[in-house]
Amino acid sequence: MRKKIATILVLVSIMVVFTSAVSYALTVKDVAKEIKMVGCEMLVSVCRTDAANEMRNTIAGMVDKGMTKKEIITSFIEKYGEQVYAAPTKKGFNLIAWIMPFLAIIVGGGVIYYFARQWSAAYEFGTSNKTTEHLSKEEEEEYKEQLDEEFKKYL
Amino acid sequence: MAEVGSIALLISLVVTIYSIVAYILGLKQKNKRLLKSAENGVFANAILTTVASAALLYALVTSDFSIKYVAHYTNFALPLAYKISAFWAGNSGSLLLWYWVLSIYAAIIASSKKPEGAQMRPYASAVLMFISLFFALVLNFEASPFAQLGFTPQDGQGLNPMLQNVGMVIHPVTTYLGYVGFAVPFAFAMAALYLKKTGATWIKLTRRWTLIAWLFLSIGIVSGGQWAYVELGWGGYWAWDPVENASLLPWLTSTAFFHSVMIQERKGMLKIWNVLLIIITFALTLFGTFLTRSGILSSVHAFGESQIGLYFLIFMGVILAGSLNLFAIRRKSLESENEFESTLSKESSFLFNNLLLVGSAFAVFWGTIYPIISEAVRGVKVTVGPPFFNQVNVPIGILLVILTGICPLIAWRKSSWQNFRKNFLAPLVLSIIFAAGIYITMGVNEIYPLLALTSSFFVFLTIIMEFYRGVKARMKMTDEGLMTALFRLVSRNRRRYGGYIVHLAVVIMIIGITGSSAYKLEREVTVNQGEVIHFEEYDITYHGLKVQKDPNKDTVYANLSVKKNGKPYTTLRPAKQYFKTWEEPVTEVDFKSGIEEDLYIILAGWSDSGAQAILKVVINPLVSWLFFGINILIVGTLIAVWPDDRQRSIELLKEMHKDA
Repeated sequence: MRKKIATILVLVSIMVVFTSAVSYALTVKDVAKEIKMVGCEMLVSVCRTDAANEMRNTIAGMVDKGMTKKEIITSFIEKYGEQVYAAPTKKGFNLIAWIMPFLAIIVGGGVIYYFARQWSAAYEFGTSNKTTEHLSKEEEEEYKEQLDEEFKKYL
Repeated sequence: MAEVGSIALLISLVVTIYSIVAYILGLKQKNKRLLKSAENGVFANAILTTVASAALLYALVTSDFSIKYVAHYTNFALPLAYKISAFWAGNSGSLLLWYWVLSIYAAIIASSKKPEGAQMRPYASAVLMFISLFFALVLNFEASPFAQLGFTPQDGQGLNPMLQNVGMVIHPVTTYLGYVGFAVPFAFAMAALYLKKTGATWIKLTRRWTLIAWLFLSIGIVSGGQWAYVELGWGGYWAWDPVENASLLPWLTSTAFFHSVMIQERKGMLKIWNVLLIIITFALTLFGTFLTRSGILSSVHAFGESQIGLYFLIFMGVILAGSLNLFAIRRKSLESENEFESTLSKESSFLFNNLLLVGSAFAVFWGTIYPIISEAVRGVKVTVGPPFFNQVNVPIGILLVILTGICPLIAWRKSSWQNFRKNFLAPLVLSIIFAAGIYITMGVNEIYPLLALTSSFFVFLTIIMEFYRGVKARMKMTDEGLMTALFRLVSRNRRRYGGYIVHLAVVIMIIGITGSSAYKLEREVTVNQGEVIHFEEYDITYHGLKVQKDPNKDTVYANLSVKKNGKPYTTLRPAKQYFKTWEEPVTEVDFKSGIEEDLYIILAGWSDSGAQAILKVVINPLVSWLFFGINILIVGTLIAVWPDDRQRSIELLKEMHKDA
């Protein structure tokens, strides 16, 4: 058990070390790939219309002003409505959108765990009365040789 | 020709109804003659749909513009290949294609002589004919491809230029072949439920159908991505569009299905789950079509709003209600002796594989329909796009990849920690070293790409180890040479090693997806004639604009020569095409594909008659891995489904042994 915990700790620390201390300057693309171009059905980052070009220029201006990604997206939502953001906001009713998939997996995992335990118990109950035969070393080797022979025929 | 097609479809409707009635009565009265007659109806229907399809093809190829469909989707100047592919360019043509394929599949099933399927076959055929009836009704009364204009225009409107690509030939056909293919295991599942024979027979009978349908759907999805990449000109291949999602949903659930049926085949477990999975998978193929046709969600794939979406919704409801009702009635026959020898076993890892695959399908489904939910509950329209799907699905996907590495190496029944350590310690340590290596030398420092690449590497190692162990054991036992041992190992364990090759293909594709989505570089530049763009290791010289004319379109392209690391590399011609039958110009990208990366250039615009051009230059790392991976996936799947006489005789021996 200790070994397992140690292994997990090592893995987690590797992940933390690898992912920490990395910071990036905000680019237009970072923002544009989260904003939907109204009427284009595509993201501002990839839409080829003139309006999308203007939108990218607007974002560039906001980035130059030092606004954060969150601030820029909020200002877009205020101006064009929630639909402009390419994902549901993480507040209010929209939280359901984010929570449900993981909740479903967690509940599903619980159901699997429940059944797996039941099935394991059923197996243990079924085998508790059975006796196991113990083989001597010679017998084991004999069987192994026989098995190898059978394998050769099969292969 | 319109009359021939219309009459064939009308007779087909009558024959379909006759077949269904004959099957029902024949099965009820145990009347073999009636059953034979119903079977003949299935064959006749396949011929009739073939006649109708041939009539439409003939009309398209000969430009019979008196037919509305032909006039709407083709014109004289359209190249022959696209006249043929216009068959499935619109609603009614694509439904005819679906119906045609379904009727042929039904005929193949009806003509099967496998004795083990004799009892189920008429029931399954009846279900397939019931599904056919839906298409026959829609094609006759709502979306006839043979509807006439009442006059003959001088020329047709022509095919949407976006559809004039080789992707149009491959993507829709393979996707439909996949969708329709799932009708077969669904039909057999219903037959098995009705007959209370929910053992492994229906699974064995339909294993190949399921895998082939899955293969076609995989090809359909990837070729669709490739088409978008080549044709749509935004530098990507997957946009989490509702219609793309709709094709991914049955792919995910069917992947779960053919993994979990292995447990039923071996241990007789999970009968309920498997029947549910195939019902869901088939219903999801209809859901995809409902989404494309209804216009209920905004999508780049919109086929135009029509009543067909509503019909698909109703049919999906009928299928779900009918199958779930039968499922509930036969619930008792699905009870199986569920026993687990250990929680650390292949069985349990398959359960988790199913949990993640179905969980991922649910996440995609949920995200796809959430805009409707939000509007219904809050009255507010929201968009659910890539930021949502990536955040939700990427972690699930990474876990799935890790499981792909672990699952095949865990023993059936009971695995031990010792066994687990023996199998996994080396790959795990090597993977950690690999992670450190790519972090330090290649700057892969974001968590998801790092995990995705490392877990792919882990899976790769475990697969290689499996091949190594198998070959080594064979060489030791049989004194065969390396290549002979490898060949025989694969050819005598096709399902297992075919499966490994498919896993290998999947990790190759994941590496492609990771590289191209996380490390894509792009720059939009305005460049003067003769000027050089320096971007990463590329020097791109703009030599001006040129015009090329052909009967169908005028092409304006930028003439570019490219050097890589100072050496001549390639010439590229990104273009805008002006089709005679289309108002909007179409962007035609050009790119040079390589193992490391694709150099992808879009001509965004120009000024001063081409003295100045606006180019978008994209470097897409590893994207070719994604498109190459599908070839390996095809090979692996074909190995897994290739008939094996040896295996069949072993199974026959087992059956004889049981009987004795």
